[in-house]
Amino acid sequence: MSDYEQTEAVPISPGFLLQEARKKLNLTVSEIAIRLLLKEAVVIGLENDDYGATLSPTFIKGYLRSYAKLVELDPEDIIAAYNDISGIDIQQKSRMQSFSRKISRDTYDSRWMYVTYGIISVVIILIGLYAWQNSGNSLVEVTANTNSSIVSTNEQEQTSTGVTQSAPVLPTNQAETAEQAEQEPFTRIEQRPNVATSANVSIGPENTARQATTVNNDSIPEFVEVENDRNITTVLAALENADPDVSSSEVLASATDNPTNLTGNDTLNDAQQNTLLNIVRENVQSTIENDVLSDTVELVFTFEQDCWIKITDATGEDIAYGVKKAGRVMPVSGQAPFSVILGAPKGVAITFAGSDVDISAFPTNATARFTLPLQETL
Amino acid sequence: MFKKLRGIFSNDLSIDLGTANTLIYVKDQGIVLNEPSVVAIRKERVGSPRSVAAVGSEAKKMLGRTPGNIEAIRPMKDGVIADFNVTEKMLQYFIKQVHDNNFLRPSPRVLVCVPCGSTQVERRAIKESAEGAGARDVYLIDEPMAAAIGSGLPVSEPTGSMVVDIGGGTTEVAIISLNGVVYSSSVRIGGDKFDEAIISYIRRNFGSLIGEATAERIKHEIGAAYPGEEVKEIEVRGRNLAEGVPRSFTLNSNEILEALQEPLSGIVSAVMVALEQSPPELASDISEHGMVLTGGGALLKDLDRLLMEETGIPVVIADDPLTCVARGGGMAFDMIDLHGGDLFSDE
Repeated sequence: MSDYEQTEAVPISPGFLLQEARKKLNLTVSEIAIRLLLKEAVVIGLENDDYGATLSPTFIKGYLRSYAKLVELDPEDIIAAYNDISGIDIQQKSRMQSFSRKISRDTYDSRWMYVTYGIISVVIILIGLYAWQNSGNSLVEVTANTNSSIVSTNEQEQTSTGVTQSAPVLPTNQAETAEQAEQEPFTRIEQRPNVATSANVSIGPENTARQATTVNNDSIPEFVEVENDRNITTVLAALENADPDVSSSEVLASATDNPTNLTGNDTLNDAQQNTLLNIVRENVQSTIENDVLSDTVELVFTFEQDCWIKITDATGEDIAYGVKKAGRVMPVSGQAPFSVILGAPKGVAITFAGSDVDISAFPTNATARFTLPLQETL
Repeated sequence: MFKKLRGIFSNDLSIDLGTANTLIYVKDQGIVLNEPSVVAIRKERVGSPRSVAAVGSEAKKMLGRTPGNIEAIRPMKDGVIADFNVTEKMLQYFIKQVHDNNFLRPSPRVLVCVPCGSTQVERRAIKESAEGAGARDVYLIDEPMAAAIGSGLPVSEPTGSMVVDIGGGTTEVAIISLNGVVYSSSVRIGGDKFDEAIISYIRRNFGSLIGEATAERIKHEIGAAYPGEEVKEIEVRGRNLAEGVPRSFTLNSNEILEALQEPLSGIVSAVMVALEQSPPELASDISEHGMVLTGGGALLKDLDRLLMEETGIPVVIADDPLTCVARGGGMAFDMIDLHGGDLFSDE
């Protein structure tokens, strides 16, 4: 029974084939070992299909081939049987380990990889800066327009010795928004019980791109303390200049008819009210002619090429900022003097209060910084 | 830059630029080309430019049978370039053969196996020849290292592995350990010397002249390096030097063995010198496991037995010894990312 099992199991074993052939030739293991120049243990291992863990398949197959030739067997049959039991392909690749110190650097951390990383980082940073700059420009322009578009006043308190008012200053709409404003020209005067002078006054700019004044307690978050009389005169002057149909006298008459609105305090007597109205009236007459009109100057910038520009008026507000496209005509107005920075002065023509400004004295290839009116700085 | 673009459509090649045969191995495709290193050059008129008439097997058939206007050249001699321009043309032809893309001229990365005994000038010539043939990058590897990798020896382990690569022009003997060559020597003895020895023997003993092709056929059929029990015979025809007419005569394997004694003793001497020069620890490893024969010369009958008898250590023949170098080069090429350039040879 055991012999039968053995004959059934051994045909695929190269060791059994070699052993049978050796016995057929009446050779001993030691004789084979001497002829093959191998240790007897190795020959026994070959016959028992026990090749050891350290022996390379190249040598195993070489030994089997030599053994097969010695015992007059076909070496290729023995190799085929060995491949069957070991499952090793003829072209098996032995796993190799490396001793090169350069491997990791050459493969992953080469200098070119660092250069590549650097270039990618710079590109990302530049894209980020470009996006941030664009968003910053639009924000600044919007803010500048908003801050300078509306002026508001708000009467907050009044003392027995004089009139002290807290007025919210709303941005004044400048000439840059004239086109938008033309679409919805309006003049609105509203009164509220707790606001003295025409508490809600909103006036759209006219075609002359003059300033408009808006007073709106509900919508303006920012408040600036100013002298009340000055604000009143400003409001009245604005009314006078913005819309000839609504005169300051009408506003004042409205205020006179309802003096509590002006003061917001019922304790004022008639004499005080008259005094206040006289002050207002006098201020209106003087400031319309002197203060407001004399401080507001109109500038026109004509761009023949793209130019970065920053204009700051006497109040410190940026009334223009950013890159202006070629061909654009940009009228602005504000209180003189103006601090002007031009990125490319050779492509810009400036008109100051209707007269051309000569900026040819500034270098054409460098940023020009000057103050308008020009004669004051040169 | 355009070369890199063409490189996208090219395969990385390992080329065994041998004296007798050129083999090209392509990753995942194996040996894709095995052609004789022979080029037939046609020259129509005096002063006209030379053109390639045939390359490889077709050209080899012309060897010794060419008319006056065609010259069959073996551009490699003793493992190195003998004719630079013809070698470049041959490589260009072979590289184009292994690429199916006809739209773009291939520009592959190429690994060329060079004899370890070749000089710097000879290596430079091989590299420039491959570059001239359109290679994008050219790497060089010592033939014994490629042969050891291709035969499956554990070259990366701290154990001595000895490989004897008997090629067409040279025999390379090297001892390798830890991915490096500890000792190597190259003798300009190979299959060509075997053929020349046979031609010389027949002229000397039979008074007849035979060609290289006939000598090679004799070597393949009855050549042996060790006397065997069986004596084989072959009938060949050659021009009798005395009579001037072709005559046939019979040769046996013992006569060829005698004819091959001189080149065989040169190979044995090279192996013995290598063993003498080997560090003792590595010599011990080699003595225990033996040495591996690769290259076409390993197919000479009983050469392993001759070396075993002469050295007293086991000798095994690698699987498919003809392609060991090309396969080993391809395997080394595949492992560039893993091993860097430590397997490669300097120019």
